[in-house]
Amino acid sequence: MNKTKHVWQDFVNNFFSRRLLFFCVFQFYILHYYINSVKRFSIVVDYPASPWILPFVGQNVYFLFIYGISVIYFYSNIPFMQRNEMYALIREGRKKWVYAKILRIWMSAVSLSFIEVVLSILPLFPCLEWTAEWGKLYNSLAMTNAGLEYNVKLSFSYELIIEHDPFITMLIFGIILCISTGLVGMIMFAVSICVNRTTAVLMGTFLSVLSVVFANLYLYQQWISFISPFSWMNLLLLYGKVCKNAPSFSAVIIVAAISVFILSGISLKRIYIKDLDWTDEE
Amino acid sequence: MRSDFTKDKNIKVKDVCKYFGKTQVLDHVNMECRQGEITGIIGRNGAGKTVLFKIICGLLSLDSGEILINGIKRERQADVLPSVGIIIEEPAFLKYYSGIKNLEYLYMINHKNNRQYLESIMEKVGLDPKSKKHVGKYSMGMRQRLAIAQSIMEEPDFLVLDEPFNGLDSHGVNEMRELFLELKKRGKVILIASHNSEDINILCDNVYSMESGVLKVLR
Repeated sequence: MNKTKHVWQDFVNNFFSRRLLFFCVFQFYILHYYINSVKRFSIVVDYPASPWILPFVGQNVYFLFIYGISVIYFYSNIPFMQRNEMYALIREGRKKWVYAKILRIWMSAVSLSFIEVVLSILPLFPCLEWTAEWGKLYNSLAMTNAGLEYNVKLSFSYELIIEHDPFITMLIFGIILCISTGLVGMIMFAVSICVNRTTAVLMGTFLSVLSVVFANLYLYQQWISFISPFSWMNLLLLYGKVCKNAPSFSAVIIVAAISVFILSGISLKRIYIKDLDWTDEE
Repeated sequence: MRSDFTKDKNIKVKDVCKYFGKTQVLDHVNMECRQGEITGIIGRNGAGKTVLFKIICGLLSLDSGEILINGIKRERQADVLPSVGIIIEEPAFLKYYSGIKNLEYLYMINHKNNRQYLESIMEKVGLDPKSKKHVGKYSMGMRQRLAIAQSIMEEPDFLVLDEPFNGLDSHGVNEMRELFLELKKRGKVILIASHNSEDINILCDNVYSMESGVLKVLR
């Protein structure tokens, strides 16, 4: 019970930070930028907007890139060697300390994903309608060229609306969002332990840029989709609508599970030969 | 408590060298810290005291030589030293928590929370356990006292204290000296580093000096 309480407190102490504030402000701004154009259209045509907009936002490559950068900024304090951690590490031992940090990464990923969902709904007020359907607004945008006429900055996939249930789609998107976020955190953590923090941040940035690279090269270099976690947030890719050789939802789960297992192993092995240096920054 | 003496806890440092790149920061260091004794190291800033302490605690690896804990050689890829209380470099806590909350946070890692006990530890180091003041607003001396509290609160076998008197006024220094002498009587292995030779001379049974990574026996 005490261990659970300590892990929870460790997460809370580190999650509610200035980095979270910047993440929220940045994400709110970018989501507002894209979703506000949908809201304006909603006001013009007088159709309410359903809350299931995030899977459509996920199809925008610039959003994926900026989300990636925000996540990397949030995790930029890896490998969590702030000076106050020294007292905790000396009590936990290296192995348990790494376990606690891996847990912290995943708890943060779940929380960031939840925040992202909430932040995507906020710009829709007061046009929001709580419904289990996609709604007339998104149907209109998917089936007509009204989006172009009204300068709507998101594209609404007709296939997604016709073939998939909104609640299930949102759930899948939430899971993918969480997996991408946590996996990038894990990669950065392992790299920061094996090499250093700067390399880890560069690695994270590379993964973020990879979503843009894939969006431009998907016809020729389809394999990139397997190693670009932020590209997975484009559900059309997972549903096989972007290119033939793309991972499915279950493939993403398997790739992520294997990667997490390997990255945890590397982190646990390397922590024993790492000289522990502490930083003053939060 | 005296019965612990039979276990003969000690730290032996044998021929330890440490390099940062091409710079040698520890040069064939040999020393021994025994149970019920205070071992002191005097040296200027940058002499290598903190590096030696970090190696003893298992926070840094050594390039050659060996460390024996209670006669057992520590493996190269060993974990941190078990049952150790440390103050290394500046004390650092969770700034938005009170002193007692910080202690609870650390104490809970290996024990069931015991607020009453932790309050008594805070009183022992001269801090008000009821104070709601955030550690971020503590003076340097108060943070140092809290660091001492966290180092002793779990009754560790080993105390590795790097500049434990930093920021303390003369009254505080005297109080902490008495506390360390009491811990010595209770059979702790205590290792203290200071740039102030007076602290070391008054407290320590064995005294070393360190300069440019070279450790010499003074007493």
